[in-house]
Amino acid sequence: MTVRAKIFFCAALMLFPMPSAVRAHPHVLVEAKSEVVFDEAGKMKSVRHVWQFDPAFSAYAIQGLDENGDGKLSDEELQPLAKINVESLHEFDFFTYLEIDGVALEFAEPEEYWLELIGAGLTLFYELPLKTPVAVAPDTTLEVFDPEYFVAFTFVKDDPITLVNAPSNCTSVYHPPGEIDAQTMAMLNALPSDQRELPEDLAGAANELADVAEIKCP
Amino acid sequence: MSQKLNVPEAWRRVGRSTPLWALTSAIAVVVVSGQAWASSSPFGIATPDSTGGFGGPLAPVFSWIAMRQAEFYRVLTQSLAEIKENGWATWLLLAVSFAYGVFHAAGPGHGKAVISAYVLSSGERVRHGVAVSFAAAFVQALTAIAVVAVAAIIFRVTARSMTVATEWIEIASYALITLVGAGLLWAKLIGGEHHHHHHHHHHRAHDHEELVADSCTGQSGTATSQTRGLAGAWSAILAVGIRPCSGAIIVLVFALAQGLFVAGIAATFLMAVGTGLTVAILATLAVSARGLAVRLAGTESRLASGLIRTIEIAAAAAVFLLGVLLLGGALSDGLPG
Repeated sequence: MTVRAKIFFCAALMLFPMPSAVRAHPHVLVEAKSEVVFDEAGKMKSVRHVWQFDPAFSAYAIQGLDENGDGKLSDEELQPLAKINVESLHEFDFFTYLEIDGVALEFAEPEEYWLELIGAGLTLFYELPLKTPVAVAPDTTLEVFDPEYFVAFTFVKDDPITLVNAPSNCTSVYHPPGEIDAQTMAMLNALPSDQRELPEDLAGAANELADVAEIKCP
Repeated sequence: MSQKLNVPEAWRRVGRSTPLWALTSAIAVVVVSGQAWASSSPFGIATPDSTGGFGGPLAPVFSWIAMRQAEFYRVLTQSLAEIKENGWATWLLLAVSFAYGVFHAAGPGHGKAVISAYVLSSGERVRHGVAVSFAAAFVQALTAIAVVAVAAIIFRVTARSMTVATEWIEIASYALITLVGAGLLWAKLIGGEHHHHHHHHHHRAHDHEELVADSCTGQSGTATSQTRGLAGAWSAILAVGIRPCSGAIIVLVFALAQGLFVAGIAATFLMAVGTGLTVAILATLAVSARGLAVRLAGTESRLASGLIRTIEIAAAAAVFLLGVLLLGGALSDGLPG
């Protein structure tokens, strides 16, 4: 194989559509509301989630669960599914990132969890305890999102992320996820095609799918 | 006897020429581009499509596609719920299903990669590539409808059982992709598909003409027997198509719960038209890229024919390795159940 042939081979390989395996198919829409719970000593001890699934995923989730056929779903009929839900979420870090200076705090397994059907929306309630309670530091944030976007989280408009039993000086400020705007898209399109690394500002735009709350106790 | 090529001889020839080099490069490329490909479900029900993360330079584009998809999906399920009250919601449902299908396939995923690589490797013409793309999309729609009809209507199973069933189908799909890739590799390396090798020294002019024709039609000129091509195409279509899309399954179950199964079926087929369209465009691009590469190689026919052969082998290796990676990922957490 000549050098020229090798160059052309490499060129051809570049043209081959590179298989990239990403789970960019949102099939679950979740409307969320979260609380950060504090203990007696004023430290954060857990995160409580209320996640309401969209009507389609709800219909999918509850099929075949009405075992006694009474047309209603009892707590007993829903509890096995709630258990599967929280056990499966473990691998995904519960989509919950409580961070101090960018370092994620570790959670223990949820002990309290249940499902309720509210209207057409199946709703998962659960409490996610921290392994050890932690005091709020200057840079404390709570993010709830799926980096792979199979689950699309939207927070409720009123009090999306609140504090429970917190010292009176503590506040939570919520920031909705930023959309990639037309200007960012134009900048992306303008990048030379051989550039592998994204400029920092553009890489940041890619990560702004998250709902973030800043927690402060000044 | 002398006409039959025995395997050791074939391998010696392989070792002497481009293919082995191509194969190792392809392995390196696929291994580097995809690591852990296990895909499990965050809620234990409804398995996501092939997994990974938003990495690389295209991450913002995929994020954008994902957000558009979420919007279409929201409108899709809403319009389905409104059909009973509003006649026009049916048209909205069909239009949005199509758009959802287009965006669904535009996001990353293994289906289009397998189809593009298959089309590239098998030397299909553009219109065959388009047909294969649409056929795979329609088989996928039919599988989703069949799964929901059997599991939800006949057996009234739970979402968990349906997820386990689709995970088994997924394993079968990945195993088939691996087999299709292995079959392609076998045909390219050993099975005697080396038409070009016989000609270049004595028929330069002929080869040149053929290659010019190639760059117009996108056809490689490889002598593929038509029946084998058809069987191969169907195996690729089935390999990709039998794995149903979880979005389609959720929409179908939702439609069923509303007593609107027929509307759900219509929506699923429109999604397939959209998905097929995107995959067909990508497959066409792949075939055109091959034509371009050959043109770049210039009129030196030996180089060009070697290039075609190399691309076809690399693409065959890519199908095979995609299958291996997906199968490995699906089995990494143990068998579904």
